[in-house]
Amino acid sequence: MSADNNHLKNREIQALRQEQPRPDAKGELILALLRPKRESKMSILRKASLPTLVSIAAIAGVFFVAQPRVVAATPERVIKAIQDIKNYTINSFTIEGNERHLQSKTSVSGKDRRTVYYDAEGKETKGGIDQGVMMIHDSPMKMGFSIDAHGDLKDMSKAEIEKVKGTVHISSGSSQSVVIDGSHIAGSKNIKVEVTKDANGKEVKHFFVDGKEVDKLPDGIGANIHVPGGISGGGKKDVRVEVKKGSDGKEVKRYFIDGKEVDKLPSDVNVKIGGGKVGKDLQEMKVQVTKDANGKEVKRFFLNGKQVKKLPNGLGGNENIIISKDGIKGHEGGGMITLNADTMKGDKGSFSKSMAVVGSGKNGEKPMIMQSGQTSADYLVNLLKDTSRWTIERGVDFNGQKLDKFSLKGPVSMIVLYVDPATALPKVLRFGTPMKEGVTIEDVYEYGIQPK
Amino acid sequence: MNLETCMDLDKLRKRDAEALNIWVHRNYDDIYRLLRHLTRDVETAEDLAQQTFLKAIQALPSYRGEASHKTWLSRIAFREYIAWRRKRRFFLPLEMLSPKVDPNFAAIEDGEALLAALHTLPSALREAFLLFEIQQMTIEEIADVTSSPVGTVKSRLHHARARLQTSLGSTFQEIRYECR
Repeated sequence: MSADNNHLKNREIQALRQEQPRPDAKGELILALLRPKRESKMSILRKASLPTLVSIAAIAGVFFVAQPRVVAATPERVIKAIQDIKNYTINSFTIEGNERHLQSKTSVSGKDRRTVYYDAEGKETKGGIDQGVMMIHDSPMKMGFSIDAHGDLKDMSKAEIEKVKGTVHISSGSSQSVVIDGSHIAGSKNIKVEVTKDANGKEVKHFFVDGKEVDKLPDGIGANIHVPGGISGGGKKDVRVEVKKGSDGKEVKRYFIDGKEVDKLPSDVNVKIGGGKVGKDLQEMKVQVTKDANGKEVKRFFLNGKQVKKLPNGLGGNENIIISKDGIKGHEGGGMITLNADTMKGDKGSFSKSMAVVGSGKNGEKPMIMQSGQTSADYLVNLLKDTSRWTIERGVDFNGQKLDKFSLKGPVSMIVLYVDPATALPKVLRFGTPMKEGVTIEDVYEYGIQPK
Repeated sequence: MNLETCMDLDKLRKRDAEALNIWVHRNYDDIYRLLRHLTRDVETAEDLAQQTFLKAIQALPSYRGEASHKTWLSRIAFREYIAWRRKRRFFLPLEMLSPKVDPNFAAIEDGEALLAALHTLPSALREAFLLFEIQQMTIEEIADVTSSPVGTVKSRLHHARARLQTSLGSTFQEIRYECR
């Protein structure tokens, strides 16, 4: 068939040509296009004659009657809104069961930032500890790290550690063993093999070691996993099982390996998905294959970002999380750990329960760190810039308000940002422990409030 | 209103409500449809469409009217799509692999089968096919939108059709028949 300018006319193509967008979409777009001019219009309105005002009101009336009032927030709009706002306050609460405690109040005015901490009795207290200081006493090496105002990890000296008294425990369910800058990961590499097709349909393999593309995989790494009817290649395979209810109410399972749907999983990957919420359950599995010193193949299984001894039972076990300035190794699938600080005491005072969530990014990337009441706008902006990492649900009911819900993508999505769609400003940043230990942090944003 | 007259473009630049209303209603469906078929996702298509119009209105001062308005907007939309595709290269979410049908959306089962087959093709072939057959652009316009030579577009279109014929079999025979 030659490629001329005669277009096809069959049923399928006609159907695609006639596809219509959501009825509200155009209205939302028009409002979004009008919005940037809204403020400057005020000066025009003041000078406008009565007939002009009537015309504007009529046009506006048509829009607001005919179109929905809610505008969808996008990461780009949220970034712009955050960058434009000068004065705001973050009230940070810890929520445990039915109890809700104010733990800190941070007022921001331009570049000035002031945080007041509250103790467990609700009394104002000076924190006395540098912003975002967290340390890990449970760590075998007794080392710690701090988080600066931009959310960057900094190593702490032993002298700094000594200044901080108290207990910080790691609440991530399966992460009892934490090694900081440990050496025993030497030889362990995170391998990713990406298979694409070129313009001629020929398979092209790309190899990545610890996030960096290499020409070929290191010797001794790269076992073969048989993928029925699919792509072959060494290294790591992402295995996903999607379970949905079919129209007849029966469970329908679909299997994907490295994004490619397969009829069945390899014989040594056994999946059993049990329990109730079929339709919402999405089990994300990863099989990592390496070779040990004797050249023997070693398989590691991960379920929903967590390594498991076998699939699907036996969560937890021997996972090591390595925290360093460069990020977290061992949770390359996008998991996170949570650090809780119970009534940390410093030289100058104490403050109540605080929490930081340290989530691993993609390999080789800066980790994302959120600390209650301390998550800087700059850092939030940086996270939002990576738009592909956010899942957005629009018009979610939150305490009686219709807000847009931004969730960080990943097997364990514990960071949620609720955004006012009208202003695109964050309303609530909420994060909790990965294993649902019942502690949630809520940072509630208020705007236009002058700091004390 | 003819949007390509100097006066109306000026109204758009000033974000005149009536001009915006006409502009969006005249062009949104095509741009949304293009992005929906390229991304195969309703929400992503809406987001990218919004970005397209926002960028277009910012770029209006530099619009010289050399290409048609539809081609110009399609070019911006296509760049937005390419940027989106690059970002999600390494992490393909599961939902992208299965057809996503919004209940509010006029779902078209007939088209989904073709779209599913299209999404097994390399992106360059898929894009050429969608722009030509669904957007009904000329080969020259596609070359402009995708910044590719005319010969390359023709070649991609030819290969896309050939592969669809293989994967769709009898369905594509029907396409050929009706084409004649």
